[in-house]
Amino acid sequence: MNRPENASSAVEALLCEVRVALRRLAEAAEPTTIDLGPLPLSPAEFTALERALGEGEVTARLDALGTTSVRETAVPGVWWVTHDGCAGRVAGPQLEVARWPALLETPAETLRSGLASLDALLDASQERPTPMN
Amino acid sequence: MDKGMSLASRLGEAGISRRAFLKYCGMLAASLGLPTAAGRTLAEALDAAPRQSVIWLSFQECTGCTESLTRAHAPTLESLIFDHVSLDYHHTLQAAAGEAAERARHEAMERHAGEYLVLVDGSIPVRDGGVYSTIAGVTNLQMLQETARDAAALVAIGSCAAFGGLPMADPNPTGAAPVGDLVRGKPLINLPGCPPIPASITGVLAHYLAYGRLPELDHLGRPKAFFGESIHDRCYRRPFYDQGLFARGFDDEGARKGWCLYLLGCKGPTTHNACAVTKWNDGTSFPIEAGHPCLGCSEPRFWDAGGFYRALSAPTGEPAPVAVAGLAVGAVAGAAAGFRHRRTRAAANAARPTVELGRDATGNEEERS
Amino acid sequence: MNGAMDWLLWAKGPGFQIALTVFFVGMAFQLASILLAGRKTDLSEPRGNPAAGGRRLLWRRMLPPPGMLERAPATYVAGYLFHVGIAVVLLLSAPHIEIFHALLGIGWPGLPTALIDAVTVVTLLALFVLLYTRLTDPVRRFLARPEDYVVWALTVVPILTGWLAVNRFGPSYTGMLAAHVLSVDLLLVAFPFTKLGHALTLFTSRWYQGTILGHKGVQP
Repeated sequence: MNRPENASSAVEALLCEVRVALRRLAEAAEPTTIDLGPLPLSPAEFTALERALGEGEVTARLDALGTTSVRETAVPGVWWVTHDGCAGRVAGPQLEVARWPALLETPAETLRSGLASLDALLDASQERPTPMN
Repeated sequence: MDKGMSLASRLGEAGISRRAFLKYCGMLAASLGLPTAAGRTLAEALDAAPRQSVIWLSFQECTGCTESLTRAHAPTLESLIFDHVSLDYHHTLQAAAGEAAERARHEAMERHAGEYLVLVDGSIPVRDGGVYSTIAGVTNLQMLQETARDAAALVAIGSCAAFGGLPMADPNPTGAAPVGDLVRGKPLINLPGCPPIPASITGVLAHYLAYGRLPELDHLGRPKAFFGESIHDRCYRRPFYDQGLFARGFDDEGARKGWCLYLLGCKGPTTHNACAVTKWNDGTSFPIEAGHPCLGCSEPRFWDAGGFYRALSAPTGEPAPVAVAGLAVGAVAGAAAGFRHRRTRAAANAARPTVELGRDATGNEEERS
Repeated sequence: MNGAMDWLLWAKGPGFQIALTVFFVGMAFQLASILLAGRKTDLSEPRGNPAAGGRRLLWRRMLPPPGMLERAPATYVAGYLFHVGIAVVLLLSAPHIEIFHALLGIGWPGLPTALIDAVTVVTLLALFVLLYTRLTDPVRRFLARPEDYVVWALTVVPILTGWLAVNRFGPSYTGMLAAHVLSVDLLLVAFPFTKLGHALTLFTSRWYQGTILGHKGVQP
């Protein structure tokens, strides 16, 4: 992780906020999402923030209501979550401070339908006549 | 439509995955200014929410508000919520016409008395008994008052319904009035804008569906989550304002360099809305980003605020003729006062008695004052 | 119902028109009546040059008399600062230039907002220093009349509300801007009929004084 050189006060304030959130995650296991959309960061400040947080090991891509990219930063527990396409207009880039970004988790409600579709698949294969040797 | 169908299954039918829905709820929570964890609870609450009966009344309006909501890019996030309400009356969108349409409204009012939401776009003419706009022989004013009586809450969509908008602009020939002036004693939320940002309409609807109440409002009845900040404070051109770098025309150097549009009449400093954050046309841009000053469309009386292309600080009237006339009148009056002063002094001098101190033998005057 | 926006539109619409009318009628009246009241015919031969004396005093009175800067530094330093400050803020901030543009049809380049902001703060501080010395110095306190405090407030409120509005203090920018414009309307109305009118009458009175001093010789 690079030290923010000539970082503006906005970038520094954001990094402080991330630090508070990370401490909360480490001590109370409580995740935080910082929405950068409403903050009037200039492109230069945004780049400075990206450079300060660095690149981590994990990158993921979601195809749901447009694409969402998830990138781990060099700070464990701090993730970039950025939305493109039609979702991009509702929310700007977010910094999620969590063990893993909530969107990557499989929604519990969908487990049953997953099970049902696997059941259907296997039932269908059992009904198929076994080929004669 | 099947009224018993849950939102979750409806979305599944529409090909929207659970994760997409959760993502939308997370973003909705963020846009409503709710804490991070609220995304999940919002999703759960929306799952459990019964289908909300909505009556949409259109009065003196241009249908731009409905267009804003329904013509957004597909697949729209807004439609997720909008499709989940039971739109029992909307004379632009409903299939029924004439008597059948009015019957649908009355049925919804009876069946959901005390529970239905009334969405209004357009202002209401009240002059001459409200004859300037009628639907099925009923004046807008009567229809509003009748429909509002058993409503759970009202949402004034667009600047006309919220603040009077264009119909109320000077000289307001029809006596147009906003909803808030005509309906008292009911929860009312104003969603001004010409048109309003679709996300603010659906955000408020989602909030109501999930929590059964309206979000926090500002002193003009607007949700703080969308109208809490001014365009100016969230504007990416703000640094140019601070540096004193202004475009003076639509094609000058400043305009090409993307400088501040204050001198071209931008009303961003006095306008509260989320355009600079949410943007328009699928997040493409917003008026200032396209090089046009903010008109201030989400503020009261924006049509009469002294001209769209006149700087916010400039007077709304014509000061030069007033100054010239004032100078002329003042100069004439001052001259009159000056000459009166002269006359008084001359009269005083003339009235002063001549004192003769003495005369010598030759009869010559010795001294005279 | 619409509160702040209605106030703002009134203040910069009809309110400003009324204030401007009173201001120009008043100022033209004062100046015309002074100039046309006439002076006693001077029958004596001047030894000096009265016109040169008048011209000289116009400038000389802008400088402190010898020794006074040391004796009353607060008055002079704060006095200069707030006069220059008001001139800079009034004439060189972009939003204000637009008002002159509407009035005169001409505009000129302005200064960066941050610089105007700094000048405003200095101007306000200077005005408060002057109020402090007026209240604490027994002589000045004795000499001050209620009008002096009214005039001080009429000057300070527009600057203060303008600064608060630009820096987004207070509950609403629109409301603060309305207060700013309304206080300027009030200032314009009061201008010709209070000591504030010295902005114009100082030239006539200095000229008058200067010609007497430049006359040099007996005047009957």
